[in-house]
Amino acid sequence: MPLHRFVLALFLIASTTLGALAQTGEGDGAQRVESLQRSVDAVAAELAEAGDSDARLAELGDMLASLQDELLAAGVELTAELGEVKARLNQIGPPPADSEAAEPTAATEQRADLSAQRARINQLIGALEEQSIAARRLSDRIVERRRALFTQTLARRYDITTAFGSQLVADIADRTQALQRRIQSWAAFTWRTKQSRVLIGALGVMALSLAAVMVFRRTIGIWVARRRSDEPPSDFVRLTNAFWYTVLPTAVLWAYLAAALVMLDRLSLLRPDILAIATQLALGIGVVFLIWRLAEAVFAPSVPHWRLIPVTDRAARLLKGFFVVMAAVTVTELIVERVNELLGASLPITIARSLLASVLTGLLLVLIAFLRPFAAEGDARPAPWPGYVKWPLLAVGGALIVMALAGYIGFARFAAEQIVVTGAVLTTLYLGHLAAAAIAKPSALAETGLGRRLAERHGATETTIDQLGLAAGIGLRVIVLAIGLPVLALMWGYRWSDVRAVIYRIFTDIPVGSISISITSIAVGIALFIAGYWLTRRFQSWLDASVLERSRVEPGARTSIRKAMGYTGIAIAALIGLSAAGFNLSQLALVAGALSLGIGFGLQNIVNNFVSGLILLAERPFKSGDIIEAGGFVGVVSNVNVRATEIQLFDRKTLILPNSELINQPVSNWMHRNTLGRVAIPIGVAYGSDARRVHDLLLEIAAEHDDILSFPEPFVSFDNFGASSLDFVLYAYLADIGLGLGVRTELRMRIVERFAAEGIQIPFPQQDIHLRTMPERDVPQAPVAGQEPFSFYGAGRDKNADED
Amino acid sequence: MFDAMTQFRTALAASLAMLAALAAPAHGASIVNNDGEPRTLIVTENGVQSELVIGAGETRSFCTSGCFITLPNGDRAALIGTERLQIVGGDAVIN
Repeated sequence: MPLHRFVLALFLIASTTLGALAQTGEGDGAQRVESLQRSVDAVAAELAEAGDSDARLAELGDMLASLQDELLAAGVELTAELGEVKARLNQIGPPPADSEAAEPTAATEQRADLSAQRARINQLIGALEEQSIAARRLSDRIVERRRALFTQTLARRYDITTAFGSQLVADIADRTQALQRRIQSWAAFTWRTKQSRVLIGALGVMALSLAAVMVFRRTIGIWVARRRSDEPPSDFVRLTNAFWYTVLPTAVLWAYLAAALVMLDRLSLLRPDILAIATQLALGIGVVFLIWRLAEAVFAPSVPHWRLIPVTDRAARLLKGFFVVMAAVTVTELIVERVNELLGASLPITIARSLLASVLTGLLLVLIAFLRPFAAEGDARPAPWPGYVKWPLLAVGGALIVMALAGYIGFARFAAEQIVVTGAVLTTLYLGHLAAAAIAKPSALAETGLGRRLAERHGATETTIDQLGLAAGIGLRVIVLAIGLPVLALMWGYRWSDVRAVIYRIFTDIPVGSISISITSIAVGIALFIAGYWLTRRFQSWLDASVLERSRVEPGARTSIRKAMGYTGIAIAALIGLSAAGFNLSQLALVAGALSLGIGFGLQNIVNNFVSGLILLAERPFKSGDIIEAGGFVGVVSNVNVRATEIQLFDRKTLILPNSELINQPVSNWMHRNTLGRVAIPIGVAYGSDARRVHDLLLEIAAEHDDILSFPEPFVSFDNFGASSLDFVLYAYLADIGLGLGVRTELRMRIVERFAAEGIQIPFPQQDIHLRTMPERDVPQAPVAGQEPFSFYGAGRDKNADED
Repeated sequence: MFDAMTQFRTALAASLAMLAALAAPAHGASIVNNDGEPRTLIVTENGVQSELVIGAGETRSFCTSGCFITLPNGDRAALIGTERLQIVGGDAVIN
């Protein structure tokens, strides 16, 4: 043992190069922990100075969120290092007890060194943990402060009379001048120092503008164009057009603005303050454009056929105008606020702009409420909005004006902004929703160009296109919600990081009690299952076509092998899918245990049929195409499935017979191993016919028929002296019993013809009645009065002449 | 074609039933206590500290979005939330 330890210690000392590596890593670790600590402290210091700026607080909150991630990442790295150190400590083993021989000093030193490293790393991770807790406290404080700020802003009341005075005029003049100076100094400075870049920037912006215009003219503009026609387009076409008419050009404009800003910023042409103003301006333009497109899409003043709400032309023009003006007011207010922030706050300007914006928005809402948008019959005045539209509009508009004039400017302004922006987003979402509903309507997709193309090129039936339309409707709804809900959340003041966290949570982890469900894993599981299912089908058809058919395996065996492959493949795909969906397969045993009771009782029949199906597949007492007789039915087997077998009866009914019936009950198969079968034709001839002649004739008739085999040869049996005939039966063998009915008919035809030609009679049942008159005295005493004066004796003998 | 669709639906229904029947979380780190006595971990998840007691032989899942832990033997570790831990003699094997 000591020798063994000694060698190990030597080996470990030889591998100190690795240790040195860890040492440097550890130094890095300490530095990293320290720098993270400093970052957290820095955020804490900035928080103290952030004051009442909500934007700054939010920024700090984001910083803390990413710091948390970094702290954890640093900890995970250190944990890996700690693992290595611990592994090496384990290799050296615990210090020897006093009774044992002493170990080499090198090993003792190594152990001491590793233990020190372990303690150091533990300490570092501990420090990270503390920082994580500190960061959390800071985040909590930020959230608290932002909430307080928000309520404070909303609840604060301003004295608006003092705001509108000489101070306001002076401030406006002062800020305008300051802005002018800033822009002039920036422009002059940039032009002097970065001439070439300015030129490049100008060229770039021009190129971008050209590209945006080209993209719009060549593609999107054509796609969303609304043609004037006499025929109004269908609901679905109008709705989808409205949706795309709004979304696509807006996307182009936003992309253009973002690209231009990023490019100018990259060329470092924009000073931070100018960039802030430009960004705000670009955002404002983007929002106004969105609302303009949306209003145009919904009201379509110049193309009445495309109007989504059936208002009069005049109302459409006015409504569109009102909405665009409302958006412009809100956006201008925001831009002024941003500029004001940059140039130094001025209370009179803040009050004035908020007041103006709120009152204007309120007025516009009231104006919209009083509009009479619907055409009336004849020359009557147009009809007003229904009450449920008019009164809420009036109430909200009036409330905005009253609140603003009462001095609750913060609240009025907040409400006005939310009404405009949320209203726009909700309207867009609603359009998407309506379009989804319209496309899912029966035969809505089939009437569109896409549906017609699908039908022409891919031969899709109307049902398929209809189903596609339904799927498209559901898909469109999902997309609308997936885009709309996060946008709404952002509008209502959630940070992008919160939204992202929720989205992430939804896709990875939905806790339901103690269980958590992951949509991604379930989707991956289902996808894997579908892929497995598809692969199984492909493999099945390949095996069937390229191997089994080629090697001339009997068709019944082919079916069995193919089915067995199919079931195995599906079972494997299901297992893979389940484990990918995150289900622990070891719990299957539990479920099986729980189900075994159920199997014992309720599922007994199903399992019985299932196992019977497997036996049928393996044993193959019959195969598809066989004529079998089972459960009192005769028919052709059309499909052997794992639970039940489909049998096509001769009256074209399909009998679905549980497999257990086919295993437990006698089944006669007319075509087992061979299709040889026998037909029997009973025939009676009149008494007095030449029996030998009849016998020979029957054999001749059988021999003449093409479908009747000469071996085993047909034969005729003389069965009975019947009531009215001599009864014969002709037995003949067929190669294919499936032809039996036709052959029997044909044989009977020929028998009738030949017997007629030969003069042999086929009698029908006959009765001879013998009447005998009796002398009076011989009549027995009548038991009942009114007895007939005669009686008859007769032999009622009859028998069917022909039966099979 | 009809037959294939029927089978596919049957298989889908069966697998959905299995999904409903089986309930197994596969998220968050999981920890199993192989010791003969209950062990206590200190877990700091997203800056919030709490104690996690794991009975002998018990398996728990915790720490869905990464956390710091302190093991019974005083060693510390940071987890990203996908690890499988085993407590052996107060120490933890992480993999």
